[in-house]
Formats: sequence, C-alpha cells, structure tokens
Amino acid sequence: MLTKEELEELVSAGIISQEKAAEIDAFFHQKESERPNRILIAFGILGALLVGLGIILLVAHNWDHLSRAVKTMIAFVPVIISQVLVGYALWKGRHHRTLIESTVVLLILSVGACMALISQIYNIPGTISTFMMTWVLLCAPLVYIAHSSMASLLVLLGITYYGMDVGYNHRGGQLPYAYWGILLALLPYYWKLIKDYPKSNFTVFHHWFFPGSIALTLGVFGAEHEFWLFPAYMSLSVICLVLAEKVRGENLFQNGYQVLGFAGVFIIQLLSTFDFFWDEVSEMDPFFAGREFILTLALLVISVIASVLLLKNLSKSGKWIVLGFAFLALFVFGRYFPTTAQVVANLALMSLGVVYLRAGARSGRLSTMNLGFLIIMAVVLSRFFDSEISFVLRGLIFVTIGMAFFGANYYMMKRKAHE
Amino acid sequence: MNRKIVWILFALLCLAQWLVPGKMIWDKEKVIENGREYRFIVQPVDPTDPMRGKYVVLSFSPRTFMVDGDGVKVGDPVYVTMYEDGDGVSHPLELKLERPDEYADYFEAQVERLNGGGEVEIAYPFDRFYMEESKAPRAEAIFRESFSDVTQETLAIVHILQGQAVLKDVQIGGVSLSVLAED
Repeated sequence: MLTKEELEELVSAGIISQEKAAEIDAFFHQKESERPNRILIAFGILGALLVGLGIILLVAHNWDHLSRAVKTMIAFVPVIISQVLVGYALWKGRHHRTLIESTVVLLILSVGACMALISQIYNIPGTISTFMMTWVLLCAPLVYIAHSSMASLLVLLGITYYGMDVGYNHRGGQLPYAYWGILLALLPYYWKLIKDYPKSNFTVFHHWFFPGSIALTLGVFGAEHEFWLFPAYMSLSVICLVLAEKVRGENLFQNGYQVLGFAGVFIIQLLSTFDFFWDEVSEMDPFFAGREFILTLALLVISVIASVLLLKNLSKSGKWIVLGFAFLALFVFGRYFPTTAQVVANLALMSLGVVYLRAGARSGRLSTMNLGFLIIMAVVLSRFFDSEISFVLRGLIFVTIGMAFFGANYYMMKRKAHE
Repeated sequence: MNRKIVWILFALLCLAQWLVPGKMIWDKEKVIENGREYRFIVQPVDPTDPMRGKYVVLSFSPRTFMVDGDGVKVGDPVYVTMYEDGDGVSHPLELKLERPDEYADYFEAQVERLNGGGEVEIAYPFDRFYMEESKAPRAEAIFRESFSDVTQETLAIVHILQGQAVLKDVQIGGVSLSVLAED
C-alpha cells in the first residue's frame, strides 16, 4: 500500500493525476476495511477451542453423584448454547468471520462432548471410528451452511483419523469408503476458497490439510501387493508438485503441496537406492496385480493428465516431476533387472544433487548449493548401510564430503562478501 | 446460498444434533427400563491394566466360541445365547450367526478376531465401566483385590432387551464398585 506522501510525490512528479491519486487512496482504504482482522480471527478461534476443550475435560471427569437424567440433560446444554451462538453469527451475516468461525468451533466440540458424555452414562464400549464418523456427519454440513473454514479443517482432521483407524486396523483393516466420500464432499468448498481467497490463511491451511490427509490415508490400500504403494505414493507426490505450480505461495510454508511433493519424491527415491528395495520388487509375483497396482495406475493417469493440463513450462519443480515419472518406469524395469535399477536410482539421485550443486555455485545461492550437498550426502550415507565398505574408507569419504561442504560454503560466502 | 435455505438447513442440522444423541439415549433407556436384568461373572483381568483412563475394563468368559460355516468376518454381529444357573448368574452358552427369536435369552456381540479352525473371538458389548476420575485409583485397587478374595464374586449387572445390552453396574459382594470406591 502507498502512503499519502508517496502518492503526493507521484502527483507532483506528474506520473499520475490528482484524481487517480484519490482513486488509488480510496481503493486501498476499501480493501483494508474489507480484510477481516486476522489476529481477531485467530484469537476468536483459539478462545473457542479452549472453551470447547474445557467442556470436554469437564465432561471427562464423569460426575458420579449426578443422576442419569441430570447428566443427560447437562450433555445437551453446551450444544444448545453453541447452536444459539452459531444462529446469532449467521444472523449477523457472513462477513463476521471471527464470530462465525469461533462459534462453529464451539458447536463442533460441544457435539463431541455431548456424544462422549452419553457414551459414559450408558457405558457404551463402541469403537473410536464409529464415534468419530457420527461426530463428523453431525458437523460436516456446517462447512456449507456457515461457510466455515474451521469446520472444513476439523472435518478433515476427523475423517483422517477415521480413515486411518479403519484402514490400518491390525484386526484386518477395511477400506474407509466414508472417508473418500466426505473428502469429495469438501472439494467444492476448497475450490471456492482457492478462487475467492487465494491468499487467506485458511486457504494455506487447506493446502496442507488436503494433501496431508490423502498422504496419510493412501496406505490403507496396502494388502497383498504392498510394494505397489511406492509407485502410488510417487504418483501422488508428482500430482502434489504439479498442483504446487498452481498454488504458488509467497514462501514454502504457504505451499503445502510443494513441501509434501518434494518430501515424497525424495524419500521414495532415496529408499529405492537400497538393495532391499529391489530385492523385494524382483520377488513380486505376480507383478501386475492387486488393488495397489490399480491404485497406482489410477494415480499415474491423474498425474499425467494434471501435468499435461496444468504445466505450461517446467519450472522449479520440473526436475522433481521428471524424476518422479522416471521412477515409475524404473519400478517396472527393476522387476526384471533389479541390480541395474538400483544403480540407476543411485545415479539419478546423485545427478539431482550435482545439478543443484552446480546451479547453486553458478548463481551464488547458498541454499541451492547446500540442497545439492544434502542430497549427495543422503545417498552416500545410505550406501553405508547396505554395503561392505571398510570403516577406513567410509571415514575418508565422509571427511572428504564434509570438507568439500565447508570449503564450498566458505568460498561462496567470501565471493558474496567480495561482490 | 439463499438466506432462507441457509436457515432451514441450519435448523435441520440443529435438530439432527439433538436427535442423534437423543436416539442413543432413547435406545439405551428402553433397554434399562424394559430389559431383563442379568448377572455375569467378571473374570480377573491383566492386573497391569484393568483401568484405562476413567473406565474399568471388564473381562468375561468364554471369549472364544466355535461356529459352523464360513463367511464370518471381523466386525460382524453375532449372537450369544445364555443360561442362568441356580444362583441367578448368567453364563454365555453358544454363538449364533443368525438372530435368535425374541423370547430367547441372548445378546448381540461383535467378532473381534478369527483364530482359525472355526474358532471365533468376540468382543462383549458391556466390557467398559466408566468411573468418576477421583474414584478411579481406589476402584482399581478394590477391583484387583476382589479377584483374590474367593468369598466374593464380582458381577456385572447388565440389562438386555432383544439382544441390546446396557451395563448398569459392577458389584463386588453385592455392593456397587462406585459406592465401594467412595470411602
């Protein structure tokens, strides 16, 4: 935003007219008044969370000396009060974000407390996933009724918990269909957030919660052909990186897709440099089988379509996306030629490190150069786990890389100071 | 969204937020009011962990039953029939995959684990007794001691109506655990 003095300066320099200056001033004033007070929203939500959690703790005490009827009635008091508050917030209008978001949080927690209290009164053993799903279903409509981002985020948390509890259950997990259903139902709200408030904190949180939730729950597809989950997660990481290009936050924190995508590609690529990885892959029989394979195919198709439609030019994450796709081809190749595949995987990650190292050295950016070093070091360190190299040699290699790391950083800093 | 529709939807949601917990209460109250009272012997539990948080974990015997036929999955509902001995204590008898007729003495349970060879492990639907947190530590000690005292039986008082069970109380020697934990 321009200050009054700066505007006057522009007018006196003849760059803009007096009217234009007044228009610009009015525009920024308007924008300022429309922007909700972020601090106020944050504190409003924090307050509601504290009160709501406080109610749950009070309920957890389990007041034995109260009769069943009294306890049952008490269970509904916070719900009714919160409903009245949400009603009041809706009546005041949608632009009262603080009021809406904080009362919605209160209502969601009150509903949970009410159900928990009833479980206690009647000694209901029930599983946590059934409890969670009932809770989510009773609160999910608030996302659209109140246009509440907090409701959307809390529902995402709830279904993620549910999906993981049902899917990874050691007593024979089942596919959590309800999870996918509710996730899809949240998509239109998320899309609206991106379109209407691309810079809002709530949108940024959604950029983390959405891919994070999917990444946590994708593993439930693992059954007899679990190794296909690696290509599946790789495709998911590629999709994240492609979407990251569209999201484009001001910094890395604002772009959950980018961070999760980088992390996914890097971790899986690093795992594929180990020999145990390819031992397992080469033993997969039948190879193209299982629901994990179908999942991989589906995600691969989505990642290809997303890349074609959304990627105009290969930008920062270009190298990583290429690496991700290359891994998918390598996975199939490695089923028949595991040793070659392992060598290729090592070379690919090393080359990525070298590319960053060079780019960093050329542009003088320390962070880029050190990223290159980190990648190379990760590969070298990993090789020490599954190879029979003598300690002396290992020590020497480490000392060499360490010295190169210090030396390069020192040289670059010197160069910068000199410039 | 039209303001009117928002209000209607919100009113419906509020109603649902009363009705769903309300239905839970209604179902349980019906069992307590109209169900028959049964007494089950509580088995000693792993002494290191009878109490999780604020509830006592109850264990019953037998946990495993033999069933005929395949197709039983973890989480499936199953029906346990029972008989009453001369002291008025009920004992689980058989596991059935089909719901018995409504005059039979039975309760609904869930398959917890399949042990192979037609052996099925079930989760009893009344294996949790919630306690007030201040009483919990004392209750835990009393609960543990009760199993070493052969003169007293620890009984779970359960109301059952058409297979639906509600645990009403846990009694040691005829006195409620929550009363015992008070002094």
